[in-house]
Amino acid sequence: MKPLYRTLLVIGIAMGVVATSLIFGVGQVIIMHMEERGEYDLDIYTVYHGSGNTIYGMSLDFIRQIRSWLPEDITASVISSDAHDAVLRIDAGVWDANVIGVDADFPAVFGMDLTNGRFFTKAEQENRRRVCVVTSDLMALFGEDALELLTVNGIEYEVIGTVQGDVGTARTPFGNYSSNTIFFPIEVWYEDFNQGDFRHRLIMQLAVYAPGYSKADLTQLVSQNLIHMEDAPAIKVSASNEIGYSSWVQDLLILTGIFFVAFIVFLLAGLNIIQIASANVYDQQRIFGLKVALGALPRHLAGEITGEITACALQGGYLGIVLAGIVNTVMNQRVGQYWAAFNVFTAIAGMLLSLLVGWITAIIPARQAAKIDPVLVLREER
Amino acid sequence: MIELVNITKIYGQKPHTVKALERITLQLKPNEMTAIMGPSGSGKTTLLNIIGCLDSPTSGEYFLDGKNTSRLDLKAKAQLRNEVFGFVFQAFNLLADKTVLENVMLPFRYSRRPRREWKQRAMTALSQMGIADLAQRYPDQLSGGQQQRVAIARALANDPKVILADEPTGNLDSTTSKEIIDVLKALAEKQGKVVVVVTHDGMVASQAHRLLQMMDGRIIDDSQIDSDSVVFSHPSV
Repeated sequence: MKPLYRTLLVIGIAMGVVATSLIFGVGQVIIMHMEERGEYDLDIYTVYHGSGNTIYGMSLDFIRQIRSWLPEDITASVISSDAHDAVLRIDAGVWDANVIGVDADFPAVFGMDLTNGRFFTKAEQENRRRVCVVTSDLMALFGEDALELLTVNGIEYEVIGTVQGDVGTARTPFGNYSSNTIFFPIEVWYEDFNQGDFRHRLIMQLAVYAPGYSKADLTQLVSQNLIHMEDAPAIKVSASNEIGYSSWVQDLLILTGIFFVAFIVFLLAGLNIIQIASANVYDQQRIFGLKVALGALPRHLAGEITGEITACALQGGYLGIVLAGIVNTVMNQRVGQYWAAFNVFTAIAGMLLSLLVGWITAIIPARQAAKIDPVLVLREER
Repeated sequence: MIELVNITKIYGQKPHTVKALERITLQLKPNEMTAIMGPSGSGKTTLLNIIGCLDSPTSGEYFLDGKNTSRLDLKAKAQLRNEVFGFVFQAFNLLADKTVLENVMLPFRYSRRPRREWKQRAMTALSQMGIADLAQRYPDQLSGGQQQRVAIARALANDPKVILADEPTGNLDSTTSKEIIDVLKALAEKQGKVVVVVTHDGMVASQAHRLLQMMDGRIIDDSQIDSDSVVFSHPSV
C-alpha cells in the first residue's frame, strides 16, 4: 500500500475511533440525562427572588413572612446558600464541605429517607442546638466514629443522622445539595457562620411540597400578599421540573449535537476508508496482476488487502484513543459534565468497532482485487 | 515439453468478437530460445499469456509435459505459474517499496516452499544475474538494465522450466538490450530452459534459436535462425 493511502487510512480510522468513543460516551450521558429528567417531582415548588437568570438572596425574616402566607397543609423548608468560609475538621484533617442551613421539614419536602439516625426537630431548631446531618457519602468516606462530632470553624456539632447522598439537581434545582453537604438548623447556621443577623439576604429559596396545589395557586397566594408591601421584591414560584428545565434542554441539545456530529464523522470516516482502500486497489492493479502471474490466488490478494487494512486499523485505533482522550479533556474543560464521553469502555468499544468497520470495508476492495484480470492490467503497459 | 494444438482465442461476445489467435499449433522445446515477432495486434502477447496459463484458449488443447492444461482448475494453474513459468515484463513490474531481495522473494509467498529457503534461493538467483551486491537496494536506485536483471532473477527464483519474456528490452538501450538477451539465451543453452521472447526488435530476434512470425492471430513463418541471420524489425504500430 502506498504511504499516502496508508496515512489517510490511519487518519480515517483514528477519526472513526474518536467518533465512536464520542457516540458511545455521549450516548451514555444522554441516557443518564434522560433518566435524571424523570426524577423531577411535580409536587415540589421553589419560591425564590429572581430576575431573568439571576437569583437574589432573601433574608430569613422575609422568607419566614412568605412561609406564613402559605397554608398549614403545605410543607416548606428554607434552603440557605453555602457558607463558603466554613472549615471542616475531621480527626487531624481539614476538608471542604458544603455547609447549608435548612429547616427541620427539609427531608419531608424532598421525600428523603434518613439512612441512619434522625433529622433535627423543630424544637432543636428553636433551641439552637448545635447538631447537624451529613450525607451517607460523607459517612461512608470517614466512618461513624470519626463523624460522631464535627468541628467547623472551631465549633463542635453533634452528628445526629445521615441522609442519602447526592440526589442530583433535579430535586434541589439550584444545585445546593451534593454528596458532601452538611445540613444545619438554619438559625444555628446564621449564628455560627453569618454573625447571627437574620436580615442578611442569604436564603436562596423556600422549597415547598404542595400536593394538590398548582403553580398558579401558589403564585396567587404569594402575590396577593406581596401587593400590600412597599418595594415588594420580584418573588417567583417555579415547579422543580421547570427551574432546571432550560439548562436541562440546553445540555440535551449540546449532547445531541455532539452525538450527531460524531455520527457524521463516523460515517465520513467509514466512507473514507472504503474509498481509499478501493483507490489503493485501482492504483495497484498492475501489482495485483503481477502477483497473479507469479502464482497468487484471489484469496491471497484478498488476504493481503484485509491484512493491510487491519494493520492500519490497529495503528489508527491507537491514534484514535489518544485523540479521543484529548477531545474528552478539552470537552470537560470547555463544557463540563461529559465525564462519561471517554473511559475504558468507550475506548475499547471505539477500537473494536473501528476494527470491525475496517475489516468490513476491506471486503469490497478485497473482492475488487480478487476479480482483477491479469491479462488486462498487464497489457496496459503498452 | 510444450505442445499447443489448434489453439484459438476469441475475445468479446458475438457479434463484436475479435479473433486474437487462430488455430495455432506449436511445439516448444528445452535448450531453445524462441522469439515471437509480429506487428501490434498480431496475437504475440495473447499467445504468451496462454502458454503461461495466464489466459485460457477458446478452443484447442495445450499440453504441458504431456498433461492437458485445459482441464486444470484455478488453483492448479496458479501453481503452474508459480513453479513452472517465470515471467519477465517490459515495465519490469518491481514493487517500489520493497528491496531487490524482497522483490525476488515475492513468488515464494504464493508457493509451498519453506520460508527458511527463501532468502538463500533469492540470493542464488541474484548471483546468477550478477547483482547479488544490489540485494538491499530499492528499484528506484537501479538502472533500467539492473531492474530488468532483478525481474529476471525474480522469474528464476523458483527455478522454473519456462521463461516467458514480453518485450524484455522494450525500455532498454541497445547495449543493455544485448546484455539482457545474452542472459536469456544463456538460460536456454546452459540451464536447459524453454525461453520465449516476444519482441518487435530485429536485433533481439536475431539472437534467438528460432523465430515465429505472427500476423492476424496466425503463425505465418516458423524458422530456425543461424548465427549469420539478420532479422528486420516490424514497425511497432
